[in-house]
Amino acid sequence: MSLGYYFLLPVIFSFLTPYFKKLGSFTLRGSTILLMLILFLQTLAYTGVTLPQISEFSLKPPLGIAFILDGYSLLFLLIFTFSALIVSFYMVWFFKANKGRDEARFYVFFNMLIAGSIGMILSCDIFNLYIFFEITGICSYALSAYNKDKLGLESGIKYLIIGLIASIFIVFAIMLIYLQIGTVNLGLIAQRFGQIDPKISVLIVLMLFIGFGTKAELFPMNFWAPDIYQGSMASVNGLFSSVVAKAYLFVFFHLFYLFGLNSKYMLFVMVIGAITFLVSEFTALNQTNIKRLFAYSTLGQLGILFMALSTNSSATVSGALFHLTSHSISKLLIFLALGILIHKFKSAKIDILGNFKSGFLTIVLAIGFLSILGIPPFSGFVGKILILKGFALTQNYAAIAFILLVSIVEAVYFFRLTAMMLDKKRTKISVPIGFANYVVLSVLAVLIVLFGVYPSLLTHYTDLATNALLHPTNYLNYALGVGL
Amino acid sequence: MNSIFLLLNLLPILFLYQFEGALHVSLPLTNEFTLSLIQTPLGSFFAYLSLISFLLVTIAQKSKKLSFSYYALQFLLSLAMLAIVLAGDFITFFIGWEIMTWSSYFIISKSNNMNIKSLQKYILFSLASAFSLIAGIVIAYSFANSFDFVAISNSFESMPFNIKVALIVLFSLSFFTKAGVIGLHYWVVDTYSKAPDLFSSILSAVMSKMGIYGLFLIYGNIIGYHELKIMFGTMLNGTDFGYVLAWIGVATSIIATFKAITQDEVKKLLAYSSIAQLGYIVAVIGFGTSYGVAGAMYHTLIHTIIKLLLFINVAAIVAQTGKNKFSELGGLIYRTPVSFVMLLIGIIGLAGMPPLGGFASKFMMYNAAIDTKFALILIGMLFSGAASFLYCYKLVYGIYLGHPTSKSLESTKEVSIHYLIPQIILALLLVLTGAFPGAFIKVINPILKEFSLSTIGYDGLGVMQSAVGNFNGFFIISAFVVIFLLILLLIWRIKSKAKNNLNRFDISYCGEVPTADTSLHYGYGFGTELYRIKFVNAILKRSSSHFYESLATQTKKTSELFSRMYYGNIHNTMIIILLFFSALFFLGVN
Repeated sequence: MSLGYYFLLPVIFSFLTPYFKKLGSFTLRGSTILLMLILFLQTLAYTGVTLPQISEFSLKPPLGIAFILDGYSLLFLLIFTFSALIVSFYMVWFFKANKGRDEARFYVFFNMLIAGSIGMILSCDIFNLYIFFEITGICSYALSAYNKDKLGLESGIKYLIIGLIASIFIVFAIMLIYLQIGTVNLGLIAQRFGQIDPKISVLIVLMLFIGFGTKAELFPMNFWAPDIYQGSMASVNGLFSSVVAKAYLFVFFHLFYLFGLNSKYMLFVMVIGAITFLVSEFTALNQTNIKRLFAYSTLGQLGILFMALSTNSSATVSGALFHLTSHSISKLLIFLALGILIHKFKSAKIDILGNFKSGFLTIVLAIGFLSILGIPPFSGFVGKILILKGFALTQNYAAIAFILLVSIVEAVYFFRLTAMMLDKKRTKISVPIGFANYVVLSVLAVLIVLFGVYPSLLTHYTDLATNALLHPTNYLNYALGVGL
Repeated sequence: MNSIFLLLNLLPILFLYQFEGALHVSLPLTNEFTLSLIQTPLGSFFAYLSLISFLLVTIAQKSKKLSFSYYALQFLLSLAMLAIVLAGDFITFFIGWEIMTWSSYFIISKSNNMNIKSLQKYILFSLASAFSLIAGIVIAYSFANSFDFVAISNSFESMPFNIKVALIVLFSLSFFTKAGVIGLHYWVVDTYSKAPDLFSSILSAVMSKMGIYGLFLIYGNIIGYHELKIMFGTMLNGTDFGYVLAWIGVATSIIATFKAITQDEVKKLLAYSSIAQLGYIVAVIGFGTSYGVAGAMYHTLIHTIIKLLLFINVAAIVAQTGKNKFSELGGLIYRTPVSFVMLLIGIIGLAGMPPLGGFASKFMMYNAAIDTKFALILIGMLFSGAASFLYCYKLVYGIYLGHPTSKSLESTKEVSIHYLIPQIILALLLVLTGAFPGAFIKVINPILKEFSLSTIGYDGLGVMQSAVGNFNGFFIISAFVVIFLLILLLIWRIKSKAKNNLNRFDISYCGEVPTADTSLHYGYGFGTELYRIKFVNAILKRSSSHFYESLATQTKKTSELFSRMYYGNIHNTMIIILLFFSALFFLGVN
């Protein structure tokens, strides 16, 4: 299968949605599950082939446009398609529980969101990348405003405005690159980036940094993010946290290493990541709305990832990619589980949500919390220890101390939630979960435990991804069309 | 349920016994991590200690209806501790350490007395301890390129001095927190007193010992007492390092002893006593001499036995009467005589009075202090040892002697047999450890060899040798038994025909007639007079809680400050992004 179908299939399904809707909600839900299953299975199939893989359209690169799948994008592709599959299963329960919602409107944007995110990580020229960036953005605005209530509309509008600002920066950066180098092919840009006048190159880098940094929720460009999370549905939050934010992060570091910016801007990105981590975790302590709280937690984890991914040391980067995968799974689990509670209690106030009674939800949420905190034997632990080990190998003890100290702050609110769940004095209300959710949440929880006790399953892919990210020679050759 | 988990708890013991010290498993986790389990003499000692404790507590738990998840978590906890003491590398050690943290957290949360604040206190201190540990681990890794104990131990000598000190501080902080050294003990009292009654015995007797195991592992095995001597130099017959540690331990023990005396809640008294007793162990653990290590080891064993015994005893009384304060108890001696005898044996051991094991271990520790010529340390230890008599007395008086404080206590029945079986076993162990100190030295000697220290002599099972002469435990206990029997005979001869089970108002009073609510249990409040002694008052009034509470307040303030930035005004967000861009641009271009 050509890599183009990763974009094409969701788009086709998205356009067919009105017809599926006429055939009934079963077809609509089933078709999305089928689509996501196809994409996920296809990605699994790609784990067996030699990488990178390329699919060019019309002309050969560097003149034509192409999709390239290397180790780095394979890891993200696995995460994205898996998350999408999980969410599509979850939405079956959601629409059954919330009768009368406009299902088609959700599925159109959901499919397009996945298409856009995948396009962003596969595209090998910067202009297509921008198009996918916009597609993802527009679908995100629409999805965050899906609840047509006050908060939902507010978050949609805010996301739209911020998204436009980020786009402006990126468009200008692409324009400048094109003016300087005369191409939009990533391979050619990477080759000639060093020849640009340093003052212009600083401007380009800064514009890309602001553009993608805003979308990837870096401090101080992330003041909008909690509002978006607060106004969106829990399942959409799960998508934002484990797919959309990760896609922007992917592009950020893809360009970072392709353009060879790591030596010059490493410390800068690391410090920005550290500040993001610190500020978000402290702010999360003070939250009363569970969606906001986990929005800050997501920002914090992105902060750690930015710290670790910018180091240019393969040990740390590999650890960070492991942590990223583990965080995606854990956050998806947490947001989906919270969605069940929010549906039951019709509120996102932490105090009210603590009153649920369900052994299953308590266990899966506890697994998610412990995993994000990096406590063994859950997957977050492996990621965190690999990151710390990487920092230790480069003798960066300050980073280790910083991460561990802020992690204690993080533990404060995670364990406050846990204590609230376990508190016997609360009036406990039992929560119906639904068969589909038992399956979905169990799968996620089992994966967290599995990657924790048997990390070799995942380290294989993170090592591949690290190698592809830090040494993009193969990628460049393919992007330049050498040897095709 | 109970029987199943009783059998399950037996399995690891049999498993360990099967290997007879030859256990060596490695399990690759990733390309870089290998989990390894190795059975060393030190590890075996702690492994058997914890596994047998779990077994005894499980017997006592038969009297309660506990859920499957409770037992499962407790079993997981015992396995985690097994992983800690058998670990051959730091990753295994840390995984065990963290599983211990969260499994105990979930058990503690099942208690009815628990509140969020105490739970938070417990988990945050545990995590701080774990994070300090992992920081030490990764720093050691950066020099040794391996997590293996042997590899780190080999490369320790070649590390820079400041790294060595940093490692010692980080590891010590982590293990001190678990053992509840003063200043880091903020969580201990709250947790021990609010945890499920029987689980408190595990917390105090076994979990705190994991901190002690860690200290032994670091000082004895990984760094080595010899290296500590080279690093910090010697002082008198011990090391400088040991002297500093000894003061930390002695201070812990003195302060905690005074705090224990003034407690009204039974389990709080036991918690402070636990801190004080672990203070002794910390005091002698750094001496770097055979006697120091042996004393610390001996006291570890004795303290485990005693605290299991006392906490089970108290749990039984709380279950029977529903009261957990000295001011609400009293006069139970005639109602629960077997429990009384068990507690009596326990406090004789706790106070370090001959002839039980408690004396033998204290003797060994005093002996170590004499041997190293740390006279002030010895005085401090003797002082706190003497003061501990007060809380021991309060324990037995407040619960069993005096008059019952309320009518409901008069009809108290003897506690369930499931509580008594482990207590009787533990009391016997306490007698045996007192009678056969030589047998214990036999167990200790391989550990001393592991630490490359000289072994201690023993003469048969009943006699152990020491710097100040031999100690014949068997003779002492025989003499005591003979004298005890003689006195018993005498009492029996002159025993009055007085009724034992009197009504609580069968007392002489002049003028003022007590009503049903009047407390007739006058002695429970003793300890409050200590506030009048200036030196003790200064200790009792100070508390680390101010520090930690202000830390919490500061964190909250910081959090409020940061969250003001996120008030959701989109115009300002846009302006900030633009300003940030222009600031970076001017910085970048210039």
